[in-house]
Amino acid sequence: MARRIQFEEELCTNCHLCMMYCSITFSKDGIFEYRPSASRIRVSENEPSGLYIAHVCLQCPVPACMDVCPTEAISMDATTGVVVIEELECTGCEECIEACEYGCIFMYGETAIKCEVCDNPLCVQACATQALQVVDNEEIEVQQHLYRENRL
Amino acid sequence: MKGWMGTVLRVDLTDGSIVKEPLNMDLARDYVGGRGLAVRMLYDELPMTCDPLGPENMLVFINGPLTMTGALSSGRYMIVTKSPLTGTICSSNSGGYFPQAFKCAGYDAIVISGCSNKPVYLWINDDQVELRDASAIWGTDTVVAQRAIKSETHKEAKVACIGPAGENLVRFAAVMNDDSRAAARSGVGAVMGSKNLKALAIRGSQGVRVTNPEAYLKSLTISNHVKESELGMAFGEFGTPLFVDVMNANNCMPTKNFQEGFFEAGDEINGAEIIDRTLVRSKSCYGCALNCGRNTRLPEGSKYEGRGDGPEYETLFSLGSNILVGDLEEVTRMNYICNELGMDTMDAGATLAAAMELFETDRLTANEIGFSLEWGDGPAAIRLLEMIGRGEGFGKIAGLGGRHLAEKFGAPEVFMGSKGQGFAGYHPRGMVGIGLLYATSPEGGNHTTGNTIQRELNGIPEPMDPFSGEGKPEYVIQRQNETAFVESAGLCVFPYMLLEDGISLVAEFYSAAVGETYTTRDIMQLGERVFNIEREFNRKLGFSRKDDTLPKRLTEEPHPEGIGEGNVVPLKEMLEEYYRLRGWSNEGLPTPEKLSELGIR
Repeated sequence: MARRIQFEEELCTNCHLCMMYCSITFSKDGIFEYRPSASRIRVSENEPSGLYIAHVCLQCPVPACMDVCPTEAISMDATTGVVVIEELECTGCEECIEACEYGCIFMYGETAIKCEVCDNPLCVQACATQALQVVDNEEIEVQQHLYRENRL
Repeated sequence: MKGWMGTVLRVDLTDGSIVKEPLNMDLARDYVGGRGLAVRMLYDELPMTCDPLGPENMLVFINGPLTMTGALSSGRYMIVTKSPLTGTICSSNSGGYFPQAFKCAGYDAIVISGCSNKPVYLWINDDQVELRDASAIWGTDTVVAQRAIKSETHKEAKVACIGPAGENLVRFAAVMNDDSRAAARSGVGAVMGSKNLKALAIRGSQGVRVTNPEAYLKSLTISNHVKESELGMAFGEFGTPLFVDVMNANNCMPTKNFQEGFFEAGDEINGAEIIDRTLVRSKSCYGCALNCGRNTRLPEGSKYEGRGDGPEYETLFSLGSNILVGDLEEVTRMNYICNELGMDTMDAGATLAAAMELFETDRLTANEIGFSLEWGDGPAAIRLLEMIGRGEGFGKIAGLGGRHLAEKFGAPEVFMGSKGQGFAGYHPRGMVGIGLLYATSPEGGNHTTGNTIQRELNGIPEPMDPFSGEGKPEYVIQRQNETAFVESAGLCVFPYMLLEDGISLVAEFYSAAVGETYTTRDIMQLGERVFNIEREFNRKLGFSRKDDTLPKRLTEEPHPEGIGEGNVVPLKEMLEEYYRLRGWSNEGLPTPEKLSELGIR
């Protein structure tokens, strides 16, 4: 079982509120910033398909990213199944980004970032159409398919 | 103070110089941002007598201190310049995704002056700024141009550009961004065209700082509240086309060049029809939960092709009821043409309506146009729109705007607008506050500078007789001041208009960004200052009471049968009271005392 954010494509309106609220969650040093480029969820309009897709980590049961990380900065929480990146261990080599076929890991400055499923996540609260939900399951096939078909 | 990015970018197209300078925080404090700050900057810098389409005119792209914050619907930017359509100062605003890129690139404003000797576009990648040759894309439509510029720059770049209409100096040319979003009004696209500036492409990765992010969590609750309210739900479901039913039910849907207020074919072009026939999906602007945008396509088997956004309500009125076209596919095709060629659907419609009335009364003939132009003739309207946007034949004359056209053919009274700008789709004889708004708006027939519909038609926050002038001056002033602030802060007027006490929410959001406490009263005073600097600007350009007019159709011709039958707009009475309450002279000019009270120097 893995705690993760589930995305329903039909409900997304491309409003990017999830990105704004994700980025404010990760503001540092008492400086509060709406900074979409720091968001761990990325919404984009897929040009060929015209779909609005929010890319957010699936917390794969066997994460390819974890496998390729040369510094073992990526690990899985044994209880929740959430895959996390230890920022201090990350060298910014981008191998995890290459390895993730779902396009759910991003570079921000010198480090890789991804969704690590906050408690009561603001992205989910901000989503006015309930396109994002916190779930606790491994039924990720639909979302996997969506991401494979619509690479960032 | 947070909220602002702190940098103004200045680009002189004549010598190609690009300079970054710190934002003047004293001015920002006094005039907020967006509309207010840009007007003040131009008030100080613009040679007043300049030709709007000459190199001396300046074009300010500007966002506001609340743009891209957690404040409800904060994804807006504005273009402020001297209008080639009205000759006044004007502010034209748009949403989409471009405003986010613009602000996150690190700029509050981009001030463009001079004129390039060849077509260029401005490419801004955070702090790297350059002018690039646009010769190869000059002449392309706005969809092609945006795609081409994205592929030449960056896939994350957001583009605001002009189409052939802007290049051909159509006086109501728009600036289009994110496919079909438009800074549509007042001819801002023609000013870009006159400067040989095809587009701005921006990629921004900076953050927007606020003092107290907790305050914005309220936005999430409130946007749900707005969405779950009766009006909010209808708005989310139908978008602005919802107003077709609302206006028709109130005998307020301008029809046949404002001769009537009810369009028989309203059911053919309303929100439900769009859902049934053309809607692909709803869409939002950046950071907005209201979801009022409509992505559409003409269905298979239609006599026309195309895809894009809209039409919005204003287009369903201006290129639908007001020219008696009740065929959704024809109106949608006209909407796409305007978007692709880059022109305002509202003034395009006002011009077509005037042309049709001139044609009906034999002042304008098929010989002059090249074909006949009967009321309701969609194919002829489509043909004329193409000619306007491309600057061909009679389109060249029509492209100078409806006022010019009506004057040229000897019937100035058939142009339904004020100060040269066509009216929006709210019939002033059916809600007279709107009439006062149109007459006193700084850029003429504009409905976004202080809309009174919610109160006049829907009784929110409290009922008001729509047919009487009583209390209207005071209420219009309040709405104008509120809206002047909202548009200066970089917010969308919609949600704040739908909420009963939207302005106190704006005050909270503004305080939370900048880190100082602003009360509703403070906000209203800032809005009043903005409105007055615009008036003062226009005074310097020679505008006064003589220009605060409405066509005789609204003040003398009685409203036809139905709700409000026999009503006219009591403009003279309202105007006198309005000037008095504004603290302006009887000539409609801000007095020195008023200016000093507002701290305008």
